[in-house]
Amino acid sequence: MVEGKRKVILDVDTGTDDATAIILAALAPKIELLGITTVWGNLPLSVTTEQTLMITELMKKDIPVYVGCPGPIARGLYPQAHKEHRRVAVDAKGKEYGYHDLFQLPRPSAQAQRRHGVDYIVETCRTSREKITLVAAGPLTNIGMALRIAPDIVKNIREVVVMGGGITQSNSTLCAEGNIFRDPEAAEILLKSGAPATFITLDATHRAALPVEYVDRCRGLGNPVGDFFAEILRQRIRVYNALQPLWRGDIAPIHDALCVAYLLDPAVIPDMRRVHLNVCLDHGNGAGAFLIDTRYYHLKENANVAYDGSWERFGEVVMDTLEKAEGLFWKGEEK
Amino acid sequence: MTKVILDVDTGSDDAVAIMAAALSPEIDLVGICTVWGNQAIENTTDNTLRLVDAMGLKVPVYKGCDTAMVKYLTHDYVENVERPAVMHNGKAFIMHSEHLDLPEAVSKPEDVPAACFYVDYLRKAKEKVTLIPVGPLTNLGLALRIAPDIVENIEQIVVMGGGSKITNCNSWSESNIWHDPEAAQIVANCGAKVVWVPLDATHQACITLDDCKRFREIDTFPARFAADQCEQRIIVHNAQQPLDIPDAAAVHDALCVAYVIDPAVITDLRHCHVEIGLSGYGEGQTIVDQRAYPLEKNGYFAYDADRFKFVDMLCDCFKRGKK
Repeated sequence: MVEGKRKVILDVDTGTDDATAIILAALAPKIELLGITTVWGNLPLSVTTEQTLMITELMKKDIPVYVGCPGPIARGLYPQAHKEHRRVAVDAKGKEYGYHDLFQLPRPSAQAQRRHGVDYIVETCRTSREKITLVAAGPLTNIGMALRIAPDIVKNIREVVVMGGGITQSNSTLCAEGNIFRDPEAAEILLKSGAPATFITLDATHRAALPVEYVDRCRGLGNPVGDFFAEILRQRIRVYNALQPLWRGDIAPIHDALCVAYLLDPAVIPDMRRVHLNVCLDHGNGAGAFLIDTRYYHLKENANVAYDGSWERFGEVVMDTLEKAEGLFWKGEEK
Repeated sequence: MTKVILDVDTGSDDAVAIMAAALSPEIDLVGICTVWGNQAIENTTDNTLRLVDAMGLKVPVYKGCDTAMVKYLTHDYVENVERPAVMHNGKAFIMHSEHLDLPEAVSKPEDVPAACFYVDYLRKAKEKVTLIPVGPLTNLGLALRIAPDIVENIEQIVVMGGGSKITNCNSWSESNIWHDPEAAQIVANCGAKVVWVPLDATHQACITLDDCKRFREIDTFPARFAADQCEQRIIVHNAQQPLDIPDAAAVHDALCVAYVIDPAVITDLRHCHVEIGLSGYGEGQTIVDQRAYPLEKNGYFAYDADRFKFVDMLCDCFKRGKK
């Protein structure tokens, strides 16, 4: 045990913003990253796992990766289930850019662990002498499964920090954010479990979107991790400008990384509210929507929900952490 | 020998199923998973351990889920009606007592939760395994979603659950399926061979008071204990759910074990398409596609069983038990 560090399991569907979350969690001195579990979501499980291994290998860190669930707990059982479709940006030469394509990284030689991700979460939470923080950057399938299979783990969970949901913002459907939409039952299991839950919503991540200046600032760090992140940000800005322009141009949210930044500096979320939250579990247009009880006589609070994010603070946390990366990171293609 | 994992909510008929599986020379019982259902998970697990200890079995018991996968997350499910206890000779009887009438268990469940056991065991299995879930399908539904690849190592899934013309929970559903319809729907379409042993078959394979006498004449522990369970069930059946044959009870779960020992005990098994109703009226219904042009066949549905053969098979198992 390392004194004063938060013990963290990161659950990811890597993903460019997940990649950034992994980098921050692995580099930040305040975090002890115990392991990474992968989940379906942005991309199929085999791809999110491979891309996760690419990142851990680049980090030259011995972080075990456990393969989790390939699909939602119980969605898709109804024939009328609402479907989402993948959108890509196309440049003048006809080249396609998705939100989550990682670039020309070497294919990983490392293997994922044999043990299942859900099993790993259950076992780690049950046996750890210190409470565990779970950071969920994809659909909540692995965490919902673990809580359903072993409800006793709640007493050893310090906090579940989720990238998911939105108050005024959505992306997968007219009212739902992707991570919650893809497995709403998993989110609702978490909300009913009694585990402390914090949701970093699209409202926060869109407000904390980093502007294009950070591309040059990160390159200026003169270390490969800065270059790598600069490339992620550049690509995301290109895709956001084309597919999903935000409150101003030439910015891009790094959703999942904001969850890790929140652990490092809560000031990245200037407006966090304690609310009663449910997730809409219907099978039509409302599926996956956040239902926040805003009544004066509201139901008992069960979650922290981020209503706003600070791109200035977030930018500082990212820069501070990346600066420490000197010597810790892959030095480019080894020929 | 067929490798078998039982998944039980013990449970009076679960107890008979466990004893038959443990004593049959055809079955290698590699693990028992417990699940909520007939009683709360603490009780079904405790009852299972009591029986395992009473039988002197060396079979690991894995504690499973305490509620359905997702059904109770919303409030739009149909409420069930509780049935009162039946008074008989001044004593109250229900179908499944809170505690089996056995000494307290010494054994403990394994550390690994049931769903994780399924995933881990089936992934490592060198030969295919037969699964016999006789409670709500929660553990298996979760395991199949956690790791769909485990299907490769499943020989068949013999489910006690459902009913085409007969139901017991409400006018359209049988309890095991009604308790966790989503889990049942996942099992129905998982791609493994699924054999549904519904009420249509289990009510035919009833056990009578005369059969209980036969058990008592065998005079081993399992035979006597099975007679106790069946007689209790006959009292409740007579009062609340009389069968075609008087003084008889369905011992549902044990019929699944008998089918794995010898499939001939099921006398009418039809290859068909089965779906599970997931909401409103129809929630938890096993819907068999009866049309001449059915959807792709995904399972086998049992419509009838041979009750004489069933009792003979149980007697053969119980004879092998300890005094």
